[in-house]
This record gives sequence, structure tokens and C-alpha cells, in this order.
Amino acid sequence: MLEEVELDGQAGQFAGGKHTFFLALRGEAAADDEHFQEGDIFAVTEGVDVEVGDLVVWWTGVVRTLALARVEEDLSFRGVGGFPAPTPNLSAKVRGVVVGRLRPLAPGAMAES
Amino acid sequence: MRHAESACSVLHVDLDAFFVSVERVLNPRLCGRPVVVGGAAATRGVVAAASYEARQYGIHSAMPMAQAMRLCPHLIRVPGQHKMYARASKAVFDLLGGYTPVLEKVSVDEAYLDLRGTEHLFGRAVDAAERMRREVKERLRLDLTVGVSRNRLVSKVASGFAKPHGLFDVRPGQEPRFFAPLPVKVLPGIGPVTQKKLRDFHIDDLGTLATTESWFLQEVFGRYGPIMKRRARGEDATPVCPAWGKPVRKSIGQERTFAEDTHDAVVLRGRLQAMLEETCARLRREGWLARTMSLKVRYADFTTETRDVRLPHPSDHDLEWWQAACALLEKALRRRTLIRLLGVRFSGLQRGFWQGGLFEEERIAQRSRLTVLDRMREKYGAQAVCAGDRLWLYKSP
Repeated sequence: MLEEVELDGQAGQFAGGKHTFFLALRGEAAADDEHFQEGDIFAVTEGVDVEVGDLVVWWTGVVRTLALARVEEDLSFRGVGGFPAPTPNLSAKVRGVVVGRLRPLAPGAMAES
Repeated sequence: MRHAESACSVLHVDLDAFFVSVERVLNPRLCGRPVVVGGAAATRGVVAAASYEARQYGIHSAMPMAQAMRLCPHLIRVPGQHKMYARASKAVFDLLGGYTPVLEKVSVDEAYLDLRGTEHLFGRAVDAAERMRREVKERLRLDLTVGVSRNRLVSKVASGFAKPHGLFDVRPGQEPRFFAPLPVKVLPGIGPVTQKKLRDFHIDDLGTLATTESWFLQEVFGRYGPIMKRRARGEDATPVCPAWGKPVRKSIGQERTFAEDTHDAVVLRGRLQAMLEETCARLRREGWLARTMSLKVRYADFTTETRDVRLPHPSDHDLEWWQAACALLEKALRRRTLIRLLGVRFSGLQRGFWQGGLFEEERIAQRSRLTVLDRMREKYGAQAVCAGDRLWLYKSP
């Protein structure tokens, strides 16, 4: 599940609310080429053209439910990290393109610091 | 276009609130409290480093200590132990050096690493970065922030994004999109003056800067304008340069003014050979290989000409440069004017030592002779062994 979050570090200061927003990955991600981890925060840019190879965030059609997909050569969407791909009868509406990923230090280690 | 993940290999690592973190390792009671390292307010001291808790009060480095104390009355000040910080820094970078030899330390708490070629050992750069952070935390109890991308510039901005103690990797090919919404001030090299100038033209973010016409930027900012535009798109070709690969010299050479102006080819070739021998011996002694040789000729009428030649491979061997040097001298002699000065200069220097190929027996034998000659000259002087046709150079008048 992807949950919109606000960052209070420099990332939030620089990009928050200005075409870039952040989505945190909740729950365990399926093991695949993307190597996502629970807690990963994706920086997503909206309002840009989607290109082949991009990792995109799209509306699943369910209220407030977003999913991640990789854009394939034929411009179809391949579900990644355990997220499903859009079904043929569902037109995927892209919310934005993932430009980067923030991985905070593991919670245990954070507590020590 | 699908972007290769493996291309993301440049890391920018930054130790969070480094001085304060070291103080906290030494004294854990400082954890979670507003702490600064710096000189006392009474002696007009300034803040050298502030903890994130102190920064919440608006305290930052270089701020006068008296002002910091006013902003946060219960601020804890520690005087600073720079020898200890240097030791901690060395420990961190020794540890990171275990991941790649291509590590460029830019300050006591900051470095760039290029992980190309280490995939078989440590996996993807982002995984290696994760492991580094964990190792630094577990072994040294310090927090490392890391930016990962395809180049130094983007990694530097990415690590700023990840602070405190995070890891941010910019997906390959997404550099312009990552940069586009960011304010121009995040781009290293854009200071307050440039910022103000850009603001005057309503260029507030990197996306706008990246789409501004080059000719316009050139007009306003000169040569730096188009460079700034490329950087605003996240383009940077600067390599990570470890200390051992940094040329501390740009060139090595020598020049001689003749006692009398001459056009005698034998004299000039003899002098050229001597200069080549001596300069190449110096290259070998100091461990440099040169890519370019320049021949400088000053004529009797004081006009000066410089001609360059490059070898296909960098070299420190005078015999390999000799033919090219002679060709340059021939060209200089065509002018039919007496020559007053001759100079040889090697540039494009890079650290390294000559290495013979498996099937280059002749070159290897030549190299052995050269090593022996170098030793003899070192022991008995440059004139101890020389080519027969320039013995006259060393004869006393």
C-alpha cells in the first residue's frame, strides 16, 4: 500500500507541494527486480510525460488507492513490488513518475541515534 | 528508453552533524539534546557544528555563539576536539575505502565514491550504500547520509535530500525531473549573487533554468551560463578523483636559452635530446605518465611558437617521444630564423608507471636499460651516460 507522507527534512523543504510529493510503502513488498522495502519513500513528480522504462504511480480506480508500475516497451504497465498491473478494461490514470527513493535508516538504528 | 540501473554508481556520503555526533559517541548523555560545538561566547566564539535539535531553534554553523545562546538558553556547548574528529573521519573513510579505491574525500565529513566495477562484490550501488550506512552505524556509531545516482552533482543534491541519516537514490534517467522543481539555490555553485540575478529574470527553479535559452544565459552569465543550464538538467561529467589520481602538477618541463642564437640542426637536436632525457627521467622519478609534449621555440626576433604532439598512450620514455619531438623541431627549423630558446614541456599528466605488454620483448628490454641508466645518472650525475652524438654538450669550453 502507498501512503502519501510529508517529509520534515530538507526533502520536504525543497520539494513538498511543488509538483513533487512523497509516497511511503507500507506493508511488505514482493521480492522482484525493484528491490523495494517496507518504509521506502518514493519522490513522485506530477505533470510530466511518461516514457518507456519509467516507474509510475497510477490510480487503481479504488478510492485513494495508488499502485506502482513500470512502463514497458509497448507502453503497457507491468505491476512491480507486488502491485497488480491495470486490467485491460481499466484505463490507468497516471498520477506521477517516481524520480527517486528515500530510504530512511532502519527504525531500530534511528532510535539509537 | 529503459535506463540501466547499473549506471547508478556514484555516491555522495555525508556524516550527519559530524562533530556533534562524535561528541555524542564520547558522551552519550548529549544524545537528544540541543548541542553545539564551538568557541565560548565570551571569547567571541562561533558555532562550528549544531545538532539537529539545536537547528530547530534556528541555530546553524558560523553563527556567533552569543546569538546561539540567546536563541536557545539551555543549549549545551562543547569546545571541540579536532584531533578526535580527524581520527573518527579516518576510521569512517578507511571503512568506506574497503568498498572502492575510487574515493574522493572532499572534507572531514564528506566524500564521493565511484562503485563502478564492484557489482560482483557488493551488488547494486544502492545496496552497497545501505551496507555502508549500517556498517558505519554499527562499528562507529555515526550516521551516514548517502545520495546515489549516475554522477557527482546529482548524488550531492540527493544526499542533501536524504538528510538526516537517509539514503536517496535518483533513478537513472530521472535526473532532469528530480531537479526540475528544486530551487536554484540547491545547485552547487549558485550563490546569493547568481540567485538574485536569476530571480530578476523569474528563474526560481531548476526546471525553468534548464529550459531557458542558452544564448540568453550566455549573455547574462557569460561562459558559465550554458554550463549552469546543463547542470540544471542534472548533467555532470566530473569524475570521482581519488587522492592518488589527482594530478598535483599540470605540467613538467624545462627550457634553455642558447649562449648564441643558432640554426644548427645538430646543436638543436642534441639539446632537444638532452632536455627530453632529463625531463623524462623526472617524470619517471615522480611517477608520472604524460600524454602531450609541447616544443617551445623562441626565435632571434623574439617571436615564440609552441607546437604540441600527443602519443596514443601516455608515456614517460624519452625514446617514445623522440621521433615526435624531432618532427616538431623540423617544422620549427623551416622558418630559417636563428633560434634563441628551446623548451620541452609535458602535460596531460596522470599518475602511473610504465607497464610492458606480454609480447613487447623489445620494449621491455629497452625499459630495463633505461632503469639502469636512470640509476647511473642518479648516482654519478646527468652527464655520466649520454648519447655519443651530443657529448660535446657537456664539454667545458
